[in-house]
Amino acid sequence: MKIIILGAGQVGGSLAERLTDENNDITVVDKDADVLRNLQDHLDINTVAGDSAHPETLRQAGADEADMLIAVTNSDEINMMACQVAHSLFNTPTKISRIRSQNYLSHKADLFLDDHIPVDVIIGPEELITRNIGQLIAHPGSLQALDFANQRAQLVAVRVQPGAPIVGQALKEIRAHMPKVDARVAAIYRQDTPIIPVGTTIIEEGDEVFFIAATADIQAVVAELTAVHDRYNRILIAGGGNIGSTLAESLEARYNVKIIEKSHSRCKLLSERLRETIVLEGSASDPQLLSEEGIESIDVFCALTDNDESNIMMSMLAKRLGARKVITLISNSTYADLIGDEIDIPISPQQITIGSLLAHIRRGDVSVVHSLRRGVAEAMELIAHGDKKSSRVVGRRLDEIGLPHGVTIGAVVRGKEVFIAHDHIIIEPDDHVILFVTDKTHIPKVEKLFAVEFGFFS
Amino acid sequence: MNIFSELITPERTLFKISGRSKKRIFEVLASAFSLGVTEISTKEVYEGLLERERLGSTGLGMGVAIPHCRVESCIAPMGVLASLDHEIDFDCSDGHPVNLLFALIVPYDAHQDHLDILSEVAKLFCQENFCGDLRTAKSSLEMHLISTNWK
Repeated sequence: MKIIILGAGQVGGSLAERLTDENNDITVVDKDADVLRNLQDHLDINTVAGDSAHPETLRQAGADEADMLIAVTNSDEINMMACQVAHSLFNTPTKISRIRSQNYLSHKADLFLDDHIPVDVIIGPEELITRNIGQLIAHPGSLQALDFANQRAQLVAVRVQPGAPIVGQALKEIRAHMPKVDARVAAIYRQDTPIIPVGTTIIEEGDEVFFIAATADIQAVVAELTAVHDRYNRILIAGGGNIGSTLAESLEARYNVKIIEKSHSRCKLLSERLRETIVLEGSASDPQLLSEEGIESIDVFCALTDNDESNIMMSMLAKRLGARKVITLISNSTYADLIGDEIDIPISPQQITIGSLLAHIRRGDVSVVHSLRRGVAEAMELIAHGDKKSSRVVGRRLDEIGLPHGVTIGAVVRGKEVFIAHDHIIIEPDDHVILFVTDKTHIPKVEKLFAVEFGFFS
Repeated sequence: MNIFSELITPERTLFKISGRSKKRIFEVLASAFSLGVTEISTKEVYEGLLERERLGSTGLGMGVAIPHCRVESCIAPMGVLASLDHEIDFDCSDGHPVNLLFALIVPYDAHQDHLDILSEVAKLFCQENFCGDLRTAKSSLEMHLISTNWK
């Protein structure tokens, strides 16, 4: 696919890296020629230095032939204008824009239409990150909790804890333990190596298990695998920026939330905006402040400042002082690779953002993609089209579908109903199929499998 | 007389159009549909062709593709025949790039007819001589004559 990326910042840069990696033809546009040169030094991409929204710049970047425009400059206005120019002058099929300001986002439905501001897909990284952390807090014991099929089903990752009921038993025993709950284990990572699970696979302590279940059943399965039963209550957020404050706002009705922020003026603003949250002025890397605020009884400590180093250090401190779980925002992927057990859950803004974009880049009718395990694995939701003749999946039992190695179907969502994958289920047209792909190099095979034959009419 | 005489006109026969991507070619094909048939929405055809293509390639193989879709503003099946200046990649199962295209649009309520039309068109494009003659044609008029008179 030919893709133009506007803005060579952190998101633009890591997007370019990820997408060239997958055989796309990428052109990156930025005002700053030096940044572009740096990027070009290690990536096989084209670059154009210029004003991102200008028609001439876009023409130079190949907008005539481009399938997609991804506008991720620092300015909402430039991003929107670029989409408008691409739409009016170049008929660009897919226009994706990052829009940060809540001022625009709160009028989403009226503003972003073809006849008004033609943005096909809006990405709001802050919103995505907030939702992601919110899900982790809602499911104590989970390392990852990702939505599928309009939140009807979820994929959850957990680390199997000592003392969990399932340790030392075969996977199929889960059913005997929880007769009313249906779940499908999609993948198991043992010492970072994927194991394709079968009914007889014995679960060991320390295994990282990915499973799919209907949203209502998630917590029961997590408890089975981790022996964690109680819900989180006390949340301490470090950093009152965009992400921290939005998270506090979304949590304060259900949890006991405190937020620590350095800047006096920001604190004032926060206390006006947040009704229930306790706003504390100070530094979260100050052990005395953490102790005063009862860090040892905090269930979840979230380090969400815009500084990776601070986030990592304060998380380690909070953990040592007794916080039960720490969630840490880390943008730099090198850091993410370095950190060990001291940080329970690292959150990568880029990986979350890229996942949401990949859904539009994959071939076929793909509604959700989550990029996992630093981009090596992927979970995707595809819609099956066609009939027995024009499709290789529709009209077939799950055990008749020739899945590539390392790919498992976790669930099938039909309308409002979630069917956990069992061999006898037959795929119907328009079913949403949720798959786990342990190795992303197999994704083209999955795309081919779901592609309709030549004779299909949409 | 054959199937082509019902589907294309000299106006809807395009000789060596330029463009180096599916996107650009679909733009040209879509606008050809509304030439002289003003009720057809170019935008609808363009988006319909792109969307169908996203679900799976309409490449037939041997350098030929037959992109097709249903279109709301379309009353009777219509086609556009085109040869390309440069071959483009079309994700065909045989891996070959494409330089001969036949775009087909049908009304929304078509049920069986459109499948028959598609298979009849595909059958003609499977004849090597037919494609060969179209590729060596010197003008759109010649392409039109070849295709509508083929037996």
